[in-house]
Amino acid sequence: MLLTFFVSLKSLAFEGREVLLNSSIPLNVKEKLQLEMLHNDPRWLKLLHYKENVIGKSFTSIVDDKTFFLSSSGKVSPQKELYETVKLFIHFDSSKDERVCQFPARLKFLIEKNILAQSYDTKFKCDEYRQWRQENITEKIWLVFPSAYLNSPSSMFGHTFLRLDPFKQQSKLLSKAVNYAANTEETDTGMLYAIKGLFGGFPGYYSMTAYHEKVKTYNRIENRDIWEYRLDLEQDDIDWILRHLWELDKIKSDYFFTTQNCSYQLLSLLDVVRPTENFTASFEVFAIPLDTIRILEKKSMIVEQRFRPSQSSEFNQALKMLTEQEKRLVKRLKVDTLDELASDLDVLDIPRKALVLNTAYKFSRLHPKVRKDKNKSMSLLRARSELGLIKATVNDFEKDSSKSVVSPTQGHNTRRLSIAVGELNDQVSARIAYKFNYHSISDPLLGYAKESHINFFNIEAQLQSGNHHLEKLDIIDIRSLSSSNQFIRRRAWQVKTGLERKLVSTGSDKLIPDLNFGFGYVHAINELKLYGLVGLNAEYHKEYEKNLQIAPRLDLGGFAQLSRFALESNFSVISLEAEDTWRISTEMLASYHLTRSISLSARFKYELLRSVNNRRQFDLGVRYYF
Amino acid sequence: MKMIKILAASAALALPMIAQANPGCGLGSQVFEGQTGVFANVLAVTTNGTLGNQTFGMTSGTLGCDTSKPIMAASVFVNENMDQVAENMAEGQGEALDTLAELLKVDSKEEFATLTQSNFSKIFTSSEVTAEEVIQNLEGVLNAAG
Repeated sequence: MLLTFFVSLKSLAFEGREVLLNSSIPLNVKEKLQLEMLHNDPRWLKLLHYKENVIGKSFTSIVDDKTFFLSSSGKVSPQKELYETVKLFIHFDSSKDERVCQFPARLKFLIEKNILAQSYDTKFKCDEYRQWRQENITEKIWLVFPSAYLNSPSSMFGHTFLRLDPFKQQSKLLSKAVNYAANTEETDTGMLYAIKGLFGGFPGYYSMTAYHEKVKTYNRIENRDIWEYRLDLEQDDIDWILRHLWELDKIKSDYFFTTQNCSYQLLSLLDVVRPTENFTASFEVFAIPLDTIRILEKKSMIVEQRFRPSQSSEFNQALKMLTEQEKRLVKRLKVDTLDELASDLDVLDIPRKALVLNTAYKFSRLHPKVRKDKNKSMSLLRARSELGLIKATVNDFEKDSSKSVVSPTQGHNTRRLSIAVGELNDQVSARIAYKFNYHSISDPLLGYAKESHINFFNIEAQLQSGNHHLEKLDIIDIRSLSSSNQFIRRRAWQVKTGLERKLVSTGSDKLIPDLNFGFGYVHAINELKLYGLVGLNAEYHKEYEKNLQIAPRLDLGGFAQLSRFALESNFSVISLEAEDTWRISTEMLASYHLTRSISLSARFKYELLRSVNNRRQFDLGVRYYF
Repeated sequence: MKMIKILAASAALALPMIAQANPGCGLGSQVFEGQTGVFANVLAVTTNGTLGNQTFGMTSGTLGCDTSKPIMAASVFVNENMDQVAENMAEGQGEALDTLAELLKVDSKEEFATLTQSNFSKIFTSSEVTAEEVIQNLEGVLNAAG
C-alpha cells in the first residue's frame, strides 16, 4: 500500500515536470498521439500489463523486468512508454534491430491505430521472430487445467497453461504448451518454498514445451486429471496472443502463488485480446485457477471441453468394469506372477481377458511395491499384445470415462456464506460464517475431488443476546482424506491453523491460537469412509506459565459424500499438559444440497474438558455459494 | 503393406544418425522409469515451478536432438513416452501410438498398430530396453514387414 502510494506520487511528479513529447517524433504523429490519448487505450494498458494504482489516476505495470520497457519510467508511465515505442519504430536503426523485433504486438497496436503505416509490419527483418511464428502457426488455443494436487503446496488449487494446436496436425500430444511458472531453485523446498512463493520471491517466466511432456507430468507422474477448454479465438486474436507472447519471452514478472500466479498471468495475456473485458479485474486479491476458468466460461470464451483422466482415474474406471472375480485376479498380482494367474485367466473369454490384463497392467504401475517389479508389468503387456485388438471393449471404456466426469467449472462457487440458528449451551443462538474458499467435505461434491477438503480463511461468529463473539478463524484448513482400498493404500493427512474458541480450565471458553496436524489412514466401505489420524496439537495460552502447549492429538471420524447429501462426523482427543487433563471434541455435520449454490445444514458439536466443563452447540442453517 | 515400405525406407536411411550424429542427444530412457506413482512426496516441488532458464527456443526436454528428421522426432517422442507407447502398442491402439505413427509419417495408422502389436515382444524385448533400442527394433520389424 505504502509502496503503491509512493509510486503514484512519483509518477505524478514526472507528469508535471517533464516535457511530455520528445521532439524526435514527427509533428503529425505527435498530434495524433496527443489528440487520441492513445496511452489510455485499454489495449495499450493491457499490452504493458499496467494496473491502476489505488491512489490517483496512475498506473504501475506488474512486469518486473527492465528490458520490457523502452522508457526508464515505463513501469509507471503508459504515456512515456508509448512515446518511446513510437520513437523506436520511426527511428529504426538496423544496429538496434533486436529491440524493434522485441515488440511485434506493440507494432500491431500502432498500425491498427494509424500511428504507423501498414508497411511497418514487414519493414523489419526479425528473422528469429518470423521463424518462431513459422514454427508455431496456430489454429486453435486451449486453456489446460490439471486439477488440484493436494500433495504439493504450490498446486493445491490446480494449475493452468495454454496449448497451441497447429493446423493439420492430428495428435494433440505434439502441440506446444505455453506455461507461465516460477523459476525455482532446487534447494528451495518446504517452508522456504512456500514463503518465497507467497511473497513474490520467485521470478516468473513463460516457457514452451511439447504438450506430451505436460501430459506425462500431470496425468502419469502426479496422477492429476487434466481438463482442456478451447478458447473462442479468431485468427486475429491468435495473432495478438502470439505477438504478445514473443514480447514476454525471457521477461520476468515476480511470481506470487496466490495472486500474480500462472492463472492470473494467462488472463492478462487474454486481456490483450479482449482489452475491454478486463478478465484480470476480479482476481487482484486472489486468483484461484478454477475461478479464472469460470470467468472465461461466463464471458463465453470457452467453446469446447475435453477430459484426460490421470493414470489412477483410468485404473479406477477400468476396475468398475470388472466382476468381483476378475478384481480378485488383479489383486493377486500383489504377490503372484502372471504365470501363476494363467490358469484362472484362461477361463475367461478373450475380450474379458484383455480387459483384466489391461487393468492389471495399470495396477502394476500404480502399486508402490508391484511397480518395482518391472518384469511383471512387461509380462502383462506382452500377454495383452498376444490377444490382438479388441476394439469394442476399449471404446466402451473411453466413452464411459468421459461421461461420468463433470467439468470442475460446473461445481459450486468457491466462496461460502452460512447462516444458522440453534442453541449454544441451551440458549438461543445464531451463527454466521464466511469462507473465502475453497471446498469442504460437506460442500456439494459435483466437479470437485472426492475426499479432499481445502479451505483458506473461514471466519465464524456466534450471536447470542448479550454475548456476541468470534467463534473461530481458520486460516488454513486442509484435510486430504484419500481412502485406501484393497488395491492401493494411500496416506491421509490434515493440517489446520487459526483461532478457535475452546474450553479452558481457567474460565468457560476462550479464543485460542492453535496449529494441528496429523497423519493416518482412511478405510472405505462403499461410500462410507472411516478415518483415524494421529498428530500433534499446539495451542497458545496467555494464562499459563508455559504459554505454548504442545500435545498429542487423535482424530477419529467418518464421512460420506453423495451427489445431494454429505455427512461428516469427527471425534478428537487432545491431552493437555498444563491442565493435566484431556479435551474431547465431537462434531456431526449433515448437509443437503438443494442446488449447486444452496445447501441446508444441520450441526451438532459437543466439547468436554476434565469431565466437568462442557459446551454444546446445535444449529440448522443455510449455506450459499457465490 | 505399402505404407510400411515407405516408412521402412525412411527409417533405414535415417537411423544410423541417432547413434553417430547426436552424441549429446540422450535417448537412454527405459520403460517404466521416472514415475512416482500414488505416493508422491508431501512437499513435492514439482508443478508450478520450473528449474533453470527456459525460453521459447527450447521446445523439447531432450536437448541436442535434431528433431527436423521424422525418425529423430519419433525417437525423442518414444524416449519421453516409453511406458505410454508400450501400453498402447500392447493394446493395439491409443493416442501415443497414433502420435508415433504421425511422427513417422505412416499412411495407415491401423496397419502400423496391428503390425507393432503382433511384434510387441520383438520391439519391447525386455523391461530394461532403452528408447534407442526400441526404435532400432521397430526399424527391424518394419523392414521385415516391408
